[in-house]
Amino acid sequence: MLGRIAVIVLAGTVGFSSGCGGSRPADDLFPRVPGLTFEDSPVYFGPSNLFDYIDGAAESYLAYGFESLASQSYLENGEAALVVDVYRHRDLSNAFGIYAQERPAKGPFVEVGAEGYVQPGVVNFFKGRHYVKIMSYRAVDGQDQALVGLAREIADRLEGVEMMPAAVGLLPLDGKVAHSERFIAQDFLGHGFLHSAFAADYSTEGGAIRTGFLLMPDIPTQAAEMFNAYAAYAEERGAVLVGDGQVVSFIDPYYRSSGDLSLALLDGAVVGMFGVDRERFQQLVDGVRSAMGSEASG
Amino acid sequence: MSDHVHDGSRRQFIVGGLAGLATSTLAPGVLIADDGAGKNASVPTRKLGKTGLVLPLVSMGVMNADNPNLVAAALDGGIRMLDTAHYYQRGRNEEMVGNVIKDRPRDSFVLATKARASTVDRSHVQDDAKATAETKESFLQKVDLSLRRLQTDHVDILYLHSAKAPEHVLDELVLDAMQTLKQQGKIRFIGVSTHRNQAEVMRAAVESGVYEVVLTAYNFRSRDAATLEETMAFAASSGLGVVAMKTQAGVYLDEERTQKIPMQPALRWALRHEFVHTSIPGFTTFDQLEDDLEVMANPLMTPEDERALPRSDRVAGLYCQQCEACLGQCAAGIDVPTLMRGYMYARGYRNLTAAKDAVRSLRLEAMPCSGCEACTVQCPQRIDVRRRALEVVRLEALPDEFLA
Repeated sequence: MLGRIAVIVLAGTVGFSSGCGGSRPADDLFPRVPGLTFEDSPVYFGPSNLFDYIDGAAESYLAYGFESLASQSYLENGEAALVVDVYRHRDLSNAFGIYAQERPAKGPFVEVGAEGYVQPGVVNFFKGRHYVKIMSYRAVDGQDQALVGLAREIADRLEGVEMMPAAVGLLPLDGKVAHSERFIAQDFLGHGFLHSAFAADYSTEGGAIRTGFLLMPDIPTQAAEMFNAYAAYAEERGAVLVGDGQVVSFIDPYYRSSGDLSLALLDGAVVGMFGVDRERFQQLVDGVRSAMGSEASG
Repeated sequence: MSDHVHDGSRRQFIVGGLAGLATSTLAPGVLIADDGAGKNASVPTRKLGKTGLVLPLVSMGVMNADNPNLVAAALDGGIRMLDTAHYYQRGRNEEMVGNVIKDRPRDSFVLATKARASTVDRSHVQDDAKATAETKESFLQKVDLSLRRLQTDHVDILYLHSAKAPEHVLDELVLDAMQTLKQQGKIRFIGVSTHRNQAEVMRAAVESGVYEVVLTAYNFRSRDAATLEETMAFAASSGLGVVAMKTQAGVYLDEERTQKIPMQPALRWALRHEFVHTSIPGFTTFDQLEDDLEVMANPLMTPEDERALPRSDRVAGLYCQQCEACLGQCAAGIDVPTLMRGYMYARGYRNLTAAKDAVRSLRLEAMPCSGCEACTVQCPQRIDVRRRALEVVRLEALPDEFLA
């Protein structure tokens, strides 16, 4: 069993790693802030007690591969002033996923980590597999800019790339609504057999917003299984399937108002979009296929 | 009370195929539930205490769902009450619910949300409302923001979110704000939700004379279920509505995540007493919704359910609850709760430094358990103390640099 525990250690699941490749205690994650003092040492939470910290919201975090949380509170004249929470998730996709789930549609967005946004007294961002949330208890003029500065300082101390997950880059840019990309970690579209997905909203010629998505299972052969499972699910419920073995469209009975769902099976991936004609869907498929080819050749 | 039982089956939710779909998001062939006025008596209902609201035994905890079609299908399937909270998904959850309900008649559903107060719990949870020190005004603003997100002028139940002690329930700022909101017509009923010290919180809610609904964690794995049930019964008999959450106790029975909790039996277990007026399971798939709708129509536990549902005294808990019932039981005199706390740090929190510190604090002179053929410790949670002890004490041999 020693080996099992040692694997956990060597895999780096304890503490947070610095950008220079070495590991550093979580205490070093949190910069000093002029005029404020630390309230004790950072507090740590894991999957078994995250609930103690954020109650029912913990369930969403757990669904997104939450591993640990380091939380540091700051005081000003003995009063609560600021709290910085650094959530660590299983990987970049999951950190992005929980960030995107809580992200307001209109930001305003700031350049910190891979993406971040500001709201009064709040700066949130993600970088690598970390999701960082900064909240001020004070109402001080100009503090939001200071919080952004603090966020950047924390981002510098975190390991990981300042990029979206690679799969987000496979979703074509043409017509994509800015900051609509998201990662759903499980039960995509409310169907357990679809597992996880990357999705984004697209504007169409008529002005409607349609959802396009990309299923990219870790095991490429599972793409065909998902594709077939979805078609079978719809057929069992009386849907009429149109298409051939690689591209099909049907109405999911739970998404009738969204129109036809088009699905295409690619090499190791499934692309889908609701409510568009064959031509528009083909644009999406071609875009994904092209991006996958570029990625493979690059 | 109309807690009668319908003898339908799962097929009743699926029969009819697609032909009977009345709306774009309606689940295939689902039953239409009682609307509260007895127009459709096919689904058992219970009255939510003195609120007078009549609800099916299954409602929806929306917190885990980010899918408006799932919420719409739940309403179309007969579920009447949706339960969200101000800070779930930083407000995106309320917004999603608002988009689902905005075109539905306001009296066709019951809406519950929750708000925290930093006077009660210095919340580290981000609210979109300005995160300054809580005042009555800031609490009222928070609720106004919830109403805007929900696209409605009132919620039926506003819970004080996650009260952990009687003093939280009786917090003057909260009581004052809640009563103001009620006078303004922005909330119909005042509630409190609780996950910890539930019995004390519920008794305080009753004694306050202000609260009308309690929302409490309750499932087949609840610790000290007898006390909890006694208090829930007391609350119900005092006129409070009693809503159960966490009714299925997670997804897996075991730490290794190999044994799935039988969902329908678990939900039926939580509904077997009439003092539980409704429940808010948090489903995320349409299959789970269909399962829960079947329980809604057929809430009585069957012998098969009884057999499928592991009794709490037969299931090991995930981690030591530090109840200290084992103190003095170890033949080698080891402080077992501390050792088990170390195990929890290692496996639950992945904090090996803290785990090693816990082990080190015991100043063990030899490998524990090595002199015993059988373990003398009897854990009320049925934790395999010997196995965990042998695993965690080996941390002491790991060099500190591995833990940095």
